[in-house]
Formats: sequence, structure tokens, C-alpha cells
Amino acid sequence: MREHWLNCITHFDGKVDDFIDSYFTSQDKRALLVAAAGFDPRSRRVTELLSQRMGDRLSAIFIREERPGANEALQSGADRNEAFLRAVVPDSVVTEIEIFADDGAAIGGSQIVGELLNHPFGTDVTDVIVDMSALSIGVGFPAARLLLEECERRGDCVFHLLIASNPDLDDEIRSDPSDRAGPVKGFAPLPSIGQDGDLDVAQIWIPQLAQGLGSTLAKIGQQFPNRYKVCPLLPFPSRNPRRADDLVTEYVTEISEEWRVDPRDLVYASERNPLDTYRLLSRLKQRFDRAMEGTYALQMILSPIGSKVMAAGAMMAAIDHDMSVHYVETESYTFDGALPRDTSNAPEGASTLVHVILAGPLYANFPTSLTSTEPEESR
Amino acid sequence: MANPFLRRATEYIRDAEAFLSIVSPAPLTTFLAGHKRQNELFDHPIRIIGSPGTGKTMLATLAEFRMVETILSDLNSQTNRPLARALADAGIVVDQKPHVAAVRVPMESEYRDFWELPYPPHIKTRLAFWLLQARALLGLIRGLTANGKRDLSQIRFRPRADYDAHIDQIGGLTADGVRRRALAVERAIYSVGSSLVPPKLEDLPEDATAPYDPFDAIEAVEIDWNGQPLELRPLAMLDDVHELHHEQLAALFDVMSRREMRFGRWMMMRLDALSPSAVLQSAGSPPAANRSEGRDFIDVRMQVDIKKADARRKFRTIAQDIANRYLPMIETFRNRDTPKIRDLLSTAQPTISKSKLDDLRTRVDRSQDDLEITSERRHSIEALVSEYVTNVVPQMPEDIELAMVRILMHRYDKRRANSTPSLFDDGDPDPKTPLEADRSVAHGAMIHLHHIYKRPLHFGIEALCDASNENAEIFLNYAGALVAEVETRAIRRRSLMLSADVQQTVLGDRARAIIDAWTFTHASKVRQLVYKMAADCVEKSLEPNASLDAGANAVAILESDFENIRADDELLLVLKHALANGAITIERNYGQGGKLWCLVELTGTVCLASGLTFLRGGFLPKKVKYLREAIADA
Repeated sequence: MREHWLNCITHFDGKVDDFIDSYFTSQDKRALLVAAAGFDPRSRRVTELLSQRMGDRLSAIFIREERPGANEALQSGADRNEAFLRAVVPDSVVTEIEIFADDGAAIGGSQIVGELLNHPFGTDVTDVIVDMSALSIGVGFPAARLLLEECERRGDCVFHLLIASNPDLDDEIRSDPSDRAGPVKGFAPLPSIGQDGDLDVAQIWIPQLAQGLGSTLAKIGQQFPNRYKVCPLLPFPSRNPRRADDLVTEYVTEISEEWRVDPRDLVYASERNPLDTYRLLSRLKQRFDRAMEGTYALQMILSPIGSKVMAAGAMMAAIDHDMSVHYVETESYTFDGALPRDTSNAPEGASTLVHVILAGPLYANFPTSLTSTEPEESR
Repeated sequence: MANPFLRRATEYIRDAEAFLSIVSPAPLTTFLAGHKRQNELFDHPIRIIGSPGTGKTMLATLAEFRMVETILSDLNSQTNRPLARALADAGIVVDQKPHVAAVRVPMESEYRDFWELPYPPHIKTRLAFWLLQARALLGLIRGLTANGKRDLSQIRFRPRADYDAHIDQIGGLTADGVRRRALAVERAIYSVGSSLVPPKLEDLPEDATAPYDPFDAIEAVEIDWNGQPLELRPLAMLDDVHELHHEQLAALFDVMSRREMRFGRWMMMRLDALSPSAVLQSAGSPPAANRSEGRDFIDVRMQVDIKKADARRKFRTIAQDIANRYLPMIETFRNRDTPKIRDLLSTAQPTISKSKLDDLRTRVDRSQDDLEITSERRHSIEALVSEYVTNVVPQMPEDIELAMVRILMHRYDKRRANSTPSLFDDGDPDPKTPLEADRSVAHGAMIHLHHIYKRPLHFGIEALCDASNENAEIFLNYAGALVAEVETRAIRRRSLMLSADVQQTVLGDRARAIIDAWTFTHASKVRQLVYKMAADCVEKSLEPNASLDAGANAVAILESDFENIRADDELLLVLKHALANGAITIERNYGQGGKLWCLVELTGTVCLASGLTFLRGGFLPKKVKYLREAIADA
């Protein structure tokens, strides 16, 4: 358990700029940024912010997620973003990650892990930053976990998450799911079934509800026909105060009839603060553990397919408490909105910027589990 | 409770009683009991192949030991009796005792993940095979004890002769020992496959590398059955093996099809797991993993392996049986006599409105004028139609009669134009081939009326069954939409029977929703292909003389041209996925006009969405280029 995550350092919106101004301008900082170079208008914002302050002290690995049959408009949007990113961070590589194998299986997770292992960061790097804004969870989660664990192992390297989130924009980007649901690479622990292996597994599925993704969640849910309980996760507080209500309306059939959710099992977390999602899931885990001890083996399964900020909180919970993360990879995207050339000039309030520091020497006084070489034992 | 028709059968699996109350024994009887090599289904490796929704998982769940034990525990139950009979017919039950200890092993995506590990292929295959063996044994033991009738001490495994040396590697012969070893193997191998950074080959945990071959070592399971010892044949049913990479599946199949193995192995897969040439049944398609069907393994195809017309008739029985089991589960019907699905769907011929009928009359008159058909000729055509109506379909509505007259006038015009002019031509010669008014002209008339006046074309229980292309899941999807409409009427205390208009609207909307929701590999190309084919078939069907009678719902490529498509051609891949996911069906070597054709037929779903006939036979002759162009730029 990473005690410091319950209350770790976070910044929002303008405070993120202030933090970057005060922290990354220091000449002894050398940072590695891992970010997406896709069509998503949010691909540029974080890179631009950092490059303006750090200049040649910033290096980057830009990930281009390749999906077969992407349409021309999105391809050219991604090309423009890639050229921009290369220009503002000269010390960068662009890595193409095939999201699907020739049989349609999602392999983005394995691919990104292989790529990052091929590009280990140097000992001179003081900060590793993962920009989750435009990375899909099938790629972003394994990348973040790998780099986080490496920073924790080193002990002297700070690990940051940065997210430019815009749930309204998420709603505008339509995605066609592939036909296979499955776990995210590195997020499929086997439940502990007791010393004698005689406990039945109780699966608690926590789907994060998001607009227009009913069929995706249905596919994921079919993987757990024997689930014990479903606890839908709703965004509240949220920028649109009615978003949770709208989602309940949209998913009323699933909630009341398909998943048979007890109204007390609906859970809420802030759309703006990833720590809220993390704390909520940690609390749930504690309570279920207590209730099921000696009777069932708990397996919590998260499906954070909505807001990126909440997904980041879910990822923290999954890493810290060994929860499973199941998803359906996106086969193709449709985005009817204009692809702005430069989102840094977007009107104030269009996107929320969130920054979290998950590991580094600044938490040295907190108890942390991964200083040991045998994480399972020490946890 | 949600409409039970719209839930997947697998959602009922958690509760044995609920599952048994809805499961139909028909697939078991049709595909296993009726198989020509039924006696060998537990000796050889079996590939059970079907499209999504044909009931593979349902079949496997029904055959599992815990279900068999539940069924046999109460043979007085009306639900259980027919299921027990079907299990006996399939050889799973003998003398009212289980003969097989079967366990379903879902081949989840984690098995596929092994193929991405940085190890040589044989190591990756071995890890996946050992994991599935460990899970099969854990599931088997769980199933044998699930109903609380015995504990671990009452289960023992019997090894194959001469395999005593392998007993230690599987944890001994007691259930407890076998279970402990299987748990250790599962944990060790799973941790390798699911790890973010896989360990180096030399660092693999010992439990993942020490020999483990229970499928080779175990021949039988001995259990206590009502106080008596009983010996069972073990059987692992690997569900959804198509989730594996095709090379991984071939390698795993090679391992699993070793002849000496005594543990039963059923591999249940979708059609798209096979190569395009195997799916499309090309001559000389390569054998699976160098093994040959019949000698090394047996294929069970979950489609009725008889003429398609017979298959349709057979499926109508299966489908109605399934629907009639689901209907009592609908809360609204609980306080009244639960109707049968057949009684809910009106088959009364619909009629078009008076204004549309007037328009149709004008249209017929205009055709007569345009074609310069004499009044005498029109009277003789009307007499032909009247005679057909009087003798064959006395209740035929006037709109169909009028549309038939119009079609026959156009046919007359064509035949007149093709006849040799005579010196004494009076403008109304008798055609060489006399006109006929029959069922096929009536079908053509109905298609015309459907497109011109939106007169319902697809209604009644038989249309509902035929729309499903012998696929239970598709059938339930359509039936569910209709039943939801019936439920609304029940709540409003109106007559439950749905008119043809309502049926057509509901089924058409559902068909379009199904097509829009396709997300399988190459779905957009398949969608583009079927819409192109459907548009051309509609155009052909609406020819004024209805040259193909009920119209077209297929295109045909000369068999010799189709055979020349290269095995790695993308077109074959698209056709494979279209076929495997219920967008088209393919009939090879279809004889017509002295030639052999490869018939690419649209399924009921596409016909419903596009207003085409379900009747088979009408096709558009095309070249391979046509298919290629249809999938371009998707």
C-alpha cells in the first residue's frame, strides 16, 4: 500500500502552470515525457507547456497508436500533431504501436512495454512524466505502470501524471469498439483464494459509466457471468452537474434489469480529481475485504472507460491494490469536431489540466512498499 | 426483469435451475445425438464449429457434470425429463447415470496473451496448454463437488495403463493431490502470462516448467454415485478457441490431437477460426495442423447438414421450442395463460389503404397504355390471375391481384417483342411461351407492393424463423423485439396478436440495428458489401416483369473464377468474416443454366433490412471484380 497516494501532491488548471514554472525551470531537472502523438486535440497541450519551460532538458517518447483502417482526416490530424511535437521537442522519438495483431487481438499493451524496455531512460533523468491525455488505456496504463515501478525502484526519480481532460470532448469522439473484451496488459492479477485454495472468487465489477458506451460495457460485463455484484461508478461532482443523472437515465435498463444494481451500490467520484476515485476504490476494497474475509476471495474488476481523470484514479487503485482492469480496445474513432491546430489557445475552461506526483524522493518520509525487491511479501 | 429474449444464454448459467428452465435440448439432439459418428465423440478430438449464437456455450454448459447431476437428481421434473433424454441420446448419460465428467474451459483472452510472450513458439504453446490442463482439472473437481453430493475423498483418478510414472507430475491420483498440483501450475503459469514484463526464459518458475501432462496420464475418474462407485470418462470442452491466434490454435490443436490421449477434448470455435478456404469450403483446403478430418479428429458443424430447405423446416421447430420456453419468464404474462409464439404473430394478409389501391389501379392502367396492350389481352391476363386466385388462394387481397396483372402485362410485352413478327400481326399475338399466373408471380407482386406502397412482406412465425438463418441468438433477438411489443399491448390490455404492419416495422428496425452494431473484423467492408449486393438485388427485384419471380437475394460467381482467387486474397478474408458473422451464406457448386456457381447469398437479417425475399434461388450473375469493388474504400 502506498500510503502517500491517499494525499499525494496534485495540481489543477492554473496551478499546474505555476508548478511547472517553479519546478521544471530549475536547471538541474531533466525530464522524459511519454505522450501520445495522435489525432486528439489534447495531444499537444502538455508537451507545449513543458517544452516552453525546459527547452533541451526535455526528451520525449511520442506514441502513435496505429489502428487499421483509420480515416484520412484523423491520419492527417495525427500527422500535424506529430510534426508539431517533433518540432517543439527535438530530442524525441516517435514510436508506432500496432494496437491490433493480424487476428484482431489487442496487443498495444505488450507492444508499448517492449518499446519502453528498448528505450530505457538514462540515470541523468530526474523526472518521468506520462501525459495520459490522449493515450488509450490499453497503452497508457501499462506504460504508466512500467515507468512508475522503475521510478520507485530507482528511488531518486520523480514520477508525474499529467492529464488535459475534457469530458465534453470525450463525448464528441465516437469510438467503435472491437469485438473482444479483455484485461489490460499487466492489470490481470489472479485472485488470492486462500492458503488451501478453497475460497470461491467473488467478482465485483466496477464499470465507469460513460456516454454512448453501453455496448462496450455490455461486452465487458459478459466476461463475468458469475459476478457477485456490480457497482457502477458515476462522475459527481462534475463540470456538467447533470452528467451523473444523464448517465443513470442512459443506463437505466442495464442498472435496473441487466446488472440488477442495488441503488446503494452506485458509487460517485469527482470528475476533476483522480485522488477522489483512488480513495473511493481503496475504501471499497477495504470494506469488501473486511466483509468477505474467510468466506470469499475478492476480485475487484475496474472498467474505467470514461473520463481520463477518473481513469487515472482507477489506475492508481488498480496498481496499489492489485485490481483487474478490463476494457474493450477501440477499433476506430470518429471525430466530427474541428481538429484545432493549437489547443493551447483554447478558451479558458475548455479542458481541465490535472497533475499528480505519484513517486519520488519527496515522499521519502512516507511508508512505501516497493523499496523492497519482493513487493508481494512487503505488501 | 429484463426481456429474457434479449439476454445472452450465458447470463443464466450462474443459476442451474434458471438455466435448465430455458435451455432447449434441440441442439444436443440435432448436432450430437444425430451425428453420424456419435459413438466416437469422447474418443477423438472434436471440433465443434458454429457461427456466433448457434448455441455452442449453451451446449457445453448443458453437458457439464454439475448440470447433468442436477438434471438426473429429479427425473420427475417436466423440465429435466426431455433434457435427460437428449443427454442419453448424445451418450453423456447411460442408464440414468452420468457416463462423462465434462468441464467447460472458457478460452479467455489471457490464453491469447501467451502468444505475445518473447519465447519460442513451442514454449508459448506448452505454457498455454499446461494452463488449460490445470484449469480443466480444477474445473472438473469443482464440478464434481458443486452439488454437495460428494467431497474430495470420494473422487479418484485412474491413470492410463503404462502411465504410472507420470502420476507424481500430476499430483497423485487423489482429488486433493491433483487439485493442489493444478493450483500450483495455474498460479505459476498465469503469473508469467499476465506479468507486465515477462521473466526471462531461464527465470520461469519451476511449477511452470516441470512436466505436467494430465490429459495424457488420466484415463478415467472414479466417483461415488448414490453410494455406488461409478467410473466416468473425463472430457474438457474448450469454449471459444477462436480467441487464440491462428498459429497458436494450429499449434495447440497439434498437441491436443495426439491419438493416444484418453482425456476427451472438444474444441468449440466460431467459423472465423478456420482458414478462409476451409470456411468457404474450397476444394483442396489444407488440413488442420497436418491432421485429417475423420481420421485424426471429427468435425461437428452446428448447422443442419442437410438441404437448406430442410434445415429451415428443422430450425423452425427448434426456434419455436426455445421461444415457448422463454415466454413464461415474462412477468406480464404470468397472470394470464402464456401464449405460444406462433399465436402472437398474425399471418393475415395485410391490405394497402384505399388511396394506395386507387394509385395501384392507375399504375396498372398506365402500364397497359404504355405497353400498348389490348383490352382483350388484359382481360385474358386478368382471367389467368382470377383462375389462380379462385383455385389456389381464395383469400388473396385485391392489391396482389392487381400487381400480378401488371407483372404479367410486362412479361407479355417482353415475350411479344422476342417473337418473330408475322405478316398478319394484329398487335396482339399469342406469346410462344404462354403466360402463367402462379405463386412465384404472387411473390414478385408482394415484393413490388412492399417497395412501392410499404405493404408488409415479412410477417408470421415462419418469416421470423427464416429471418434468423438457423441461428438461435439472432432468432431470440428478433423474437425479443416482437415480444417487447406484445408486452406493451398486454400492459395496455389490448389484443396480444401483432399485425403484419407492426411485425414488419419491428423486424426491419431490429435488422438495421443489428447490421449497424457489427463490430467484428472487417465489419465496415462487410457492411459495404452487403448493402451494395442488397441495393442491386432490390433493383433487380423491382423489374416490372419480375424476371426472377420473388426477386434476387444473392450474387453468383462462376465456380471456376471463384476457385482462382488466391488463398491469401483479402476478398476471401472479408467473405470469411461475413460468413462467420451471419452477413452472408455461401453455397459452392450450385448448378444453374448448365454452369456451376458459387452462390453468395444475403442472410435473413440483410434481406429484412433491405426488403428482399427470403425465398432462395434468385441471384445476379457477377464476376469476382464485382465483389472486389464492393469492398473497396470501406
